[in-house]
Amino acid sequence: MKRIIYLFVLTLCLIFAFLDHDSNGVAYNPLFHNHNDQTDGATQSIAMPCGLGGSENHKH
Amino acid sequence: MNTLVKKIDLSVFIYSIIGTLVFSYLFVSQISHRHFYVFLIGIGLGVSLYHASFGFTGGWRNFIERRESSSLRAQIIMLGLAVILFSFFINSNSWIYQGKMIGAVAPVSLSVVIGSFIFGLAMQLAGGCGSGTLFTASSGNGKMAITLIFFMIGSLVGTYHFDFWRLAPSLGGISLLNEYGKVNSVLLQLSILLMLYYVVFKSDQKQNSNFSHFDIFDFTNFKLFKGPWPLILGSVLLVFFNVLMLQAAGHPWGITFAFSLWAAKIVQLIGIDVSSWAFWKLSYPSTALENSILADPTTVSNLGIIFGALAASALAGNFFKASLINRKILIAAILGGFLMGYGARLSFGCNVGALFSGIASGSLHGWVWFLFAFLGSMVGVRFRRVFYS
Repeated sequence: MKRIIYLFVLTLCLIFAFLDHDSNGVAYNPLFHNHNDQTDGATQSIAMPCGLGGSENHKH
Repeated sequence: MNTLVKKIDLSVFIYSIIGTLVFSYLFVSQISHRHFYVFLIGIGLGVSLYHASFGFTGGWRNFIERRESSSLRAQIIMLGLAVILFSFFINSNSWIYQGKMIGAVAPVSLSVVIGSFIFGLAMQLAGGCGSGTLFTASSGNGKMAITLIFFMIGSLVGTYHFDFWRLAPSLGGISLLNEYGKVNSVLLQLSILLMLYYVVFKSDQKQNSNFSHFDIFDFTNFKLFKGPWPLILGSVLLVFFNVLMLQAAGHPWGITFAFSLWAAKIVQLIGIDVSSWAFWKLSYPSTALENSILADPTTVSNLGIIFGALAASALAGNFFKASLINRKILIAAILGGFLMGYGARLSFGCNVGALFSGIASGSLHGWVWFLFAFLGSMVGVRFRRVFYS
């Protein structure tokens, strides 16, 4: 029974991801950024690659 | 063969296969082929993490408490391999898309020192690090599922306090690759790793008479589908998949940004507007918040890890093995999860995004993270006894 509940909760989380995808869509694809763009000085100081949550030398 | 079939958890295995097919179709048809590749790489990571039981927490604790070094040595070998391979690819063009690949270079700052120390301490309380929490929670470990929830909450609180921590003294991002060039930076990092390996095995040898360099290469009980896999295979595969991640995503493997994003998306549902917080105004986080959660590559690889670990645990017949949870352990899971999440945001990642991918990318912050997380773990091992006695 606990296993079923566990999988049920996981399914709810996955449904949440689907619904979020459905409502927000992909207006901008993070994997298709331009690496040559430069960010402004404020974001430069906390440089990290985009996909890891940062903004190294990228503009969106 | 019959025994093998009996032990496989067929319903869970089928669930993981259906989930994999559904998400694969979604990525290919609605987002991009690169997201699909990142998802597949995530599955490979999930299976490798599970079958090799590759966790940083237990390995560090074994060394701190008993000087048993097998897991720590496997991690050092993994870092050495990654340093060599990444040096060929960072800042060069990808095989998969037209564009350059970039390393996980983050600032060396006071927030990294404090954050990694907190993370190291907390991972001993929780009994799992960033990758460990994700793959064990995915394979049905109830305690780690609780840890994961509080990891997300702590990570979100970390983004709330981001404005405060960004003012902490910082040297900025320091890339050893850029500072010393490819050959020198690789030689420098390999020398440090070799020295570490020597110190670690010498102290193991001193305390444990049955020490062997080859224990991590032990294939005696190796079973491809059911596991376990030897540690060295885990090390090699994690490096292999991290290199593939670099090629497909354009950046190395990371885990914890997605936890912040998931928590932010959830609290927005209940009316808390995180988009006004400084962290969520930054270029990438704001983009990720506005877009589909499935467009974020860290979320995509985490989904792959979830399905990979789910499938591996089903094949091993170990999905949802009941774990002892009493009140003290529950508090440790909550506290550990929350502090890991908070520490990960302060220190620009966890044992994967900051330590593994950071060092592989030649970022000095990865080394600072390693040092202070280990010191934090030394304290955490003592605190842990209060909860697990």
